[in-house]
Amino acid sequence: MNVTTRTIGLNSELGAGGDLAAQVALLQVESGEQTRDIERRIQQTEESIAENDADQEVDAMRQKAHDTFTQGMVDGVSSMGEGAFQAASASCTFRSAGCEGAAGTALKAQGAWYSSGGVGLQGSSKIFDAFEGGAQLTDDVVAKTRGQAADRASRAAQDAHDAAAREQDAVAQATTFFEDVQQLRVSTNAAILQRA
Amino acid sequence: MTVVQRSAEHSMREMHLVPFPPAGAVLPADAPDILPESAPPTPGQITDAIATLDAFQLVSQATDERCADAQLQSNEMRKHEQLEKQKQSLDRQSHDTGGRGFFSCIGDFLKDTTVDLVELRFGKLASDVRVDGSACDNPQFWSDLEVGAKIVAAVAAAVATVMSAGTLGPVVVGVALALSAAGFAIQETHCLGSASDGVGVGCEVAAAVVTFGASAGTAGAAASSALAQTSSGVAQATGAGATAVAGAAQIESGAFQADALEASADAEGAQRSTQRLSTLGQWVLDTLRAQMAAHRDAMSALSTAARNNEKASLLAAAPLSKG
Repeated sequence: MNVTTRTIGLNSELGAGGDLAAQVALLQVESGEQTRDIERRIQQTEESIAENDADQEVDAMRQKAHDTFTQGMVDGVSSMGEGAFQAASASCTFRSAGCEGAAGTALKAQGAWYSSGGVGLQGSSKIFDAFEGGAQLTDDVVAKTRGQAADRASRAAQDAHDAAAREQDAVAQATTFFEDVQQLRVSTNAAILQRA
Repeated sequence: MTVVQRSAEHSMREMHLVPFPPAGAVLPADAPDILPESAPPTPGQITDAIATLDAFQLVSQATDERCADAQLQSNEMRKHEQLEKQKQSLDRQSHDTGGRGFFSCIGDFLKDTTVDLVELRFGKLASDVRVDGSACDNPQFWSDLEVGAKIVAAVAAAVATVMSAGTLGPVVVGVALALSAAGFAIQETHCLGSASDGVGVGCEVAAAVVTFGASAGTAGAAASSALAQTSSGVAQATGAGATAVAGAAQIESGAFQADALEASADAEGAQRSTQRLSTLGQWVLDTLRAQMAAHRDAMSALSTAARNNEKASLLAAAPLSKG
């Protein structure tokens, strides 16, 4: 608001007399204001990028937690299933202990099939683990990358903020310059009139 | 100065009292013109304008300060909330990664139960069972239980294979153990680069297949002794129970790990928010500082303008009095 007020004053001065000092000050103020607006926009953009990247980093970490939970659940359930197959196989082994001949062989074969079910579950679980391990590594990489991007964007936002502050100083210097010139002008006029 | 202040207050009061037409209202044709006349301002009018601007500066400065103060207070509150959230998340993470081990928990459970039973304190027994049971629900307990159950299952599988495979048993168990250990080592050390996981899994599956093959091979072979078969059956049943327990412990352990990771994500998110709010607070202070400097400049410019106006009035009057 202050700068705007003073810019209007400078504009009036420029319109009234075409003063060179006012023109220089006005150009400096306008340029400074434009640059500051741009820096502010850059700051806001970088800030929102940083926020977005930080959210994605946290999302990737949550995804890893979800993957870990899924892996634990699948492994646990498959282990329990494997235990059930082994129990069925053990039952066949017990029953085959009292059987002779073809009946005993059939029970042993049935037990072996149950065991194969357990082995199949174990193998599937291992393969699933390998895929889940890969997914968790990917989650780690995504989280790290997004975290670094968020840090970079935060630094860029800080730089833009600093640049905008510097432009504010430049605008203040321009208006001070104009005020000094005005002061000098009044003093000079007073001296001329005094001499006359 | 008093005159200037009074003039400023007067102008401000006038501005507040001026009725503002509602949006979209059409003024009548004979409405008085509210725009100032285009005649050059007199020195008195310029003084009034400067005083008004001076008052505006004061009001604007106070408004800026109030806005910054409100924003800083809001930021502080949110930062406090985020810090609290971060602390809770770190506590949760710590709870989900530590705890007492299996033997410590079971030891306490057995000791308390035994003491209560011996001293016939049945009322305390129930509460002790409940307290010790909830103390057992920690990640270290489930992790220890999972590892222990897996070891029991592996030993039981080896015994069952030895019993059912007869003379071939020790050889098969040795090969299976070697394959399993190699698979575990390859997966842990990643010595084969990106192929480590695949090769490790392959070795473990091969170990399971060898064990299974030995068991299946005996199915068609001559019947072994009833004692050996019964022993094999007992070992298999033990292995089955241990595998099931390991599965249940794995689910619990995985849930704790996942919750710890979730808590870590929450803590990270809260920390990021806290940092962002701190930076925003710093920016608000920077902006306020710049606004204060601008207000000072503007006030200085206004006082310069007032002085210049006075000098110009005197200069304008001087030639006339001289003439």
